[in-house]
Amino acid sequence: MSESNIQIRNLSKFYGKKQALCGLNLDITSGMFGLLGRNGAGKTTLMKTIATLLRKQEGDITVCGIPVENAQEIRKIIGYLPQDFNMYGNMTVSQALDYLGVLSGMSKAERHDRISILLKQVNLIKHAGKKVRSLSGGMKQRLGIAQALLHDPQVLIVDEPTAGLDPEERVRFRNLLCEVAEHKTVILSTHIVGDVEATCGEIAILDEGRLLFGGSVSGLCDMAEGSVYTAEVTQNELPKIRAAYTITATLSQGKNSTVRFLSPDRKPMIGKPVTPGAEDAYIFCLSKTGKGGNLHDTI
Amino acid sequence: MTLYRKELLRVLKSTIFFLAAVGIILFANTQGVFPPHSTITKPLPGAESYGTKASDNPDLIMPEAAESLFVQYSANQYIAYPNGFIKYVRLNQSDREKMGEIIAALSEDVISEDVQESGDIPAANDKTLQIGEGSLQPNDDGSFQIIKSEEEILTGFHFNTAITWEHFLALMVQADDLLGGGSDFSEKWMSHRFGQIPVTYDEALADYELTVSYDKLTGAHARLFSDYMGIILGLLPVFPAVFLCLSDRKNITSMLYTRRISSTRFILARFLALLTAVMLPVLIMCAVLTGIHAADYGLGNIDILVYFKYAFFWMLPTAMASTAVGLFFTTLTNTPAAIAVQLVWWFVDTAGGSGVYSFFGVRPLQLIPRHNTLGETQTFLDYLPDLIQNRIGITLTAVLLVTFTIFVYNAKRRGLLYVSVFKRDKVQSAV
Amino acid sequence: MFLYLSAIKYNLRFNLLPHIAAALGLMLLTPVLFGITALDAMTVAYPLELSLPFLGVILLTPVYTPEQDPGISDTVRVRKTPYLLICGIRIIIALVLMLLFICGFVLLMAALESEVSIAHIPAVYANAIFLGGLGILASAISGHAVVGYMIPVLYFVMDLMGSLGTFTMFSMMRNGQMNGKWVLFVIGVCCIAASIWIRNIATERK
Repeated sequence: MSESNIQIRNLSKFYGKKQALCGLNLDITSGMFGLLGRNGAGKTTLMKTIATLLRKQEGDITVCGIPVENAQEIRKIIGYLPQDFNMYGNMTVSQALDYLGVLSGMSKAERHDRISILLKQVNLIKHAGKKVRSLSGGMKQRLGIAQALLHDPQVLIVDEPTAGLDPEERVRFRNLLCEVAEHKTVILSTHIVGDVEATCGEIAILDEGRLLFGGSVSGLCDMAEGSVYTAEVTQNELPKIRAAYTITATLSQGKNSTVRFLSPDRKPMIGKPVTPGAEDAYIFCLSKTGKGGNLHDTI
Repeated sequence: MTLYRKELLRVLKSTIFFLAAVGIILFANTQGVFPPHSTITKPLPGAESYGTKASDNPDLIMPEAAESLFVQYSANQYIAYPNGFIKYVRLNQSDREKMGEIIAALSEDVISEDVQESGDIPAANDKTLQIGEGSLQPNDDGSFQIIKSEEEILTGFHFNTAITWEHFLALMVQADDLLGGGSDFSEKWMSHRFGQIPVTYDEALADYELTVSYDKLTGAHARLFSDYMGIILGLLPVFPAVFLCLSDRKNITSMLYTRRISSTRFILARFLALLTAVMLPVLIMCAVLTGIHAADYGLGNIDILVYFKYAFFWMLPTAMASTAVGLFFTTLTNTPAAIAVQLVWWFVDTAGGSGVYSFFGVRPLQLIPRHNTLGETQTFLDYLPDLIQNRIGITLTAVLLVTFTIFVYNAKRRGLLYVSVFKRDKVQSAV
Repeated sequence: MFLYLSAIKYNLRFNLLPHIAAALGLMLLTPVLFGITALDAMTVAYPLELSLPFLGVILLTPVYTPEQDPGISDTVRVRKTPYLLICGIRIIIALVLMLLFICGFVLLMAALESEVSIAHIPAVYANAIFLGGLGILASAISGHAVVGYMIPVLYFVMDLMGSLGTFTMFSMMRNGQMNGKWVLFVIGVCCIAASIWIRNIATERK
């Protein structure tokens, strides 16, 4: 069994009467692990439960062999970047990291070394003296990842880290996470398929607290093999196609549009089959629940 | 209107409004005005007492006030209420001598220093108060004892009955000035402190009849209700105002700022919504109390609208002021500092609740006018012009604060006003 | 140990400083509003009971507010050092500061020849802990500092304008008694403890 291993068995979590996680079974090994799903699928609930911020009602979770009930021990080995990461606005970047390092039980020497390394790694060294409240969105996220890595955790949990970042920042962030994932377990939660496709070996798709898919990206694409088609249609035909099929991409080219769409029965009226991409496969997977629609419905 | 309704709903659904409403009603209940603990009854002849009233009778005031001044002078410890809070004053050497001269002017058979120097001093007796060296011996702590002989210490004081009222008033003004103002010897306090006389049956009956004819009974109750409600409305409305303003976090304000609505309409809608919300429990109590009085006195004998009149003219300006303070200081600073500001204002206005200013009268910018008794309709009518001025003044203060709020909000919307209490960012590394 | 000292330093500087400044402001304002020179045994109670209890409200009520932002709350709570320990440190700092300020003020009054005694210190401290306890508990239950400020102020006004019997804060002013202060102290401490418990339930592990 790998050291960097998260095992989830029959995990259930309720918010009052609403069931956020339902009998989840999942194994996460070292490297980059992607967690996909719609908003409200239960991704953040799962992340927070692993991070010991929420209490599970049923099931078991072990992180590197440690049961999640042992919060103190778990918190030594995990780093967490929350969805709405923030820090005290009146602290500078380095003060914020130093304070969080204190809370992580790091010695002064350790903090000094790690903060220096991390600020270079996340490219915030020039902004070390800036107040947190004056940071841009991208800088704040970089500070977020720095604080999550501060105590060199074995497991890194990042909840929708690229939301709100520009494309350049997003690529930079992905690369950073890949670098980190070489030696750790990184769980990346997102609803942007591109992030997961570019970086993750294994993924899981959640929907309404249930596991829809667990496996590799290529495995996900194989699921949708033969069900994804492309066709060129006029603007007038487009609404009919929309009504008949789940569209995964549309490219307008003057009076015509090239559409990619799903046809699970593999007998579309028009179009030719194409090799499914991750996004096609993801929507295909969601559409099997009966609540899928067009691409926009998943956001 | 839509914005006003939406803001009103926001306030009404908030926890803080619920707590404020409960607080207002609970306060009224604990103070015995909701429901009312007393009713107005016609005074009966031969009662033991019909209360007291302040008089301007010089023959009553002068000796009492002078005696009190002497006692405080002897101990060199005077009581004053400069801000309404009790303060003990001790005079230095030079002021003590000046006060001594005032005492001398008020006293019979005073031997002044000039007479002492002349040598023509009559024999000392128990009416003698000598100023200067001799029988007035200062203690280590600065107080004085009147030494008649080695065995006797004279503490008596005999008022100089020959003194005129005008001269007496002039002396008292000097004494009050020496004490920094607000002492028992200021003109406004003296009749209240030293001129209390019993109210006669005829006077009590006249006041009762005035209460029936002018107040229609409920007016007197409404006044007492307003007295207590003013205390709570002078403070509690600041909390929902602060809460509402602070609930606009940074990411919300940037959305609000870019909307079409003018700052004036936005702030006014918010202000009016807050005001409506805090007055709601008051108005409900007014309605209930009117019903209670109708049952007690008979519907035909009361003014069914008087509670609402008092709510509008007496209580509303106070609520406006405290709401406006909440809006302004929170909009300006983005902190709950308004609570501290309003608390200080309330504290000073009510003199820490000590009731020092609870005798009748209204200061120009008094936040909370007081009328802490049932009835006394003539007294109310006497200070009514002051009250009207005061209420207009407080309303204008509130309007001014709301206007400032609009300016500040508008400036922030345009990025013109950035209040930062922190040091400028320096590029420095803590590493 | 040094880690806790570092945590104390950071909290003092970044989370508590404005409130300490407000507490100092209160201390400076009190002699302006009241006289504190040469007060006799009865009248010393006025500044001590009317003003100094608000030290508790100023210093205790905002203990939980730095983590009102969910983003900050999650970031801090996932740390090895338990979040409630940090809150505990803040509470202890507040209690120590309250005691220092009260001692300092009583000593000042003594130096100005007011008839204060050592016994006034625990009496005033009990008042401050009681009022601050109400505030921190209200803040923990509601999740809003403003509610935390309102409840003690409301209690103060109701007690001032009427009297709340055994639970009055103004026993010295009204009848020169200090006996009942221990009741207020105990209630205040219980409120502080209850606030920690409620905060734990509300935020630590749902």
